[in-house]
Amino acid sequence: MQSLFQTYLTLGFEHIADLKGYDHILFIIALCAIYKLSEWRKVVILATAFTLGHSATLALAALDIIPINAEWIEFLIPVTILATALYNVVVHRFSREMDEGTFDRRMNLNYFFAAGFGLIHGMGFSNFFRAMVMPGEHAQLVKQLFAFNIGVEVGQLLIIACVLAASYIAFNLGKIKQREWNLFISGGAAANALVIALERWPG
Amino acid sequence: MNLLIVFLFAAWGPAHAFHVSKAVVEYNPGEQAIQVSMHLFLDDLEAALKRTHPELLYLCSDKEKPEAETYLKEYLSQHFRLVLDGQPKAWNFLGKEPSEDLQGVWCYLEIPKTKAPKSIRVLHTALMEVFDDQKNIVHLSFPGNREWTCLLSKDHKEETLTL
Repeated sequence: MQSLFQTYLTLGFEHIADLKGYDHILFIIALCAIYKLSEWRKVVILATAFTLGHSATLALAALDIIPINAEWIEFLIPVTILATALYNVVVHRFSREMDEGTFDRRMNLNYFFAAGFGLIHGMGFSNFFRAMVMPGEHAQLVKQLFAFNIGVEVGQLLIIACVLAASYIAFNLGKIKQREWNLFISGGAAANALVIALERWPG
Repeated sequence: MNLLIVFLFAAWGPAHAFHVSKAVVEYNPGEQAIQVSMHLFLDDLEAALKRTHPELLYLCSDKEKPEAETYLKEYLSQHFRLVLDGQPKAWNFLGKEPSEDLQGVWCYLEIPKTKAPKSIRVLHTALMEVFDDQKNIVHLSFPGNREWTCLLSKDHKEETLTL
């Protein structure tokens, strides 16, 4: 037996870390592809930007302030992954390349991507959240929303840790260059996102 | 290699369908009754009822079959049980209504004339035989702001709570 908080925290975590609905995982993998472990601070800013975006739309949709068209949102989620992956491939053109494939990302477009795309993913979370939110005053909506968000956040950080750890192994043990790694991960994410987008084509 | 990743993911399927039901079980001290509101998705429920009753029931629509409610009640009595202080208690089916978005149905159940129990066991396996990932959330609310939530699934079909 759990508290309401623990239950919705679990649901939030399981929702983002669910391998059967891995689109959010894929987005986070794509976001992290141009970073290495030593740049974890940037990734944390990135994750925070994504969180700000998805928390905003999740709350607005859960409180019935904005309407959601589930079909379009489910289609747009893989589009955000595709856009992020494509951006990763051309990012070096926007930034001065430092040594060893590290980019001086003065434009930091990525943070805006993360926040803006977070808005779309939040609307996706809201489809799920609305299905499981408890009715009535007994189970305060805000508490469930907050717990769900924390769960999503923990899941998100776990995914980031896995991706950065994998890239660390690739760079240090696999002797893979960062640009190669980026192209490999972004290419895989883009191909996969394209398949999902086509499958979810609205109409 | 990228192609391999695509196939690997494609095998899992990108569907983000989720299978979840929710129920509030509360003790109403004024009426001395345990009252349950339960939300189930209509398409999931139709899929479950189809296993024993092959015809479509058109639950909560104009075309709803007259026997639909009986089947629903029968199904729920097999899958949703409450045991109060060690005694299994049958509930009455008070009625149902479509949810606001018309995708689900709210079912209302009641155990009348009962004292507030000292312990309660909740067993809720609805839809788990249809979907492996079915989750049934049950929120219990008792006088004095005592609230608990349980998340039931195929591996965890029931919970006992001592109040």
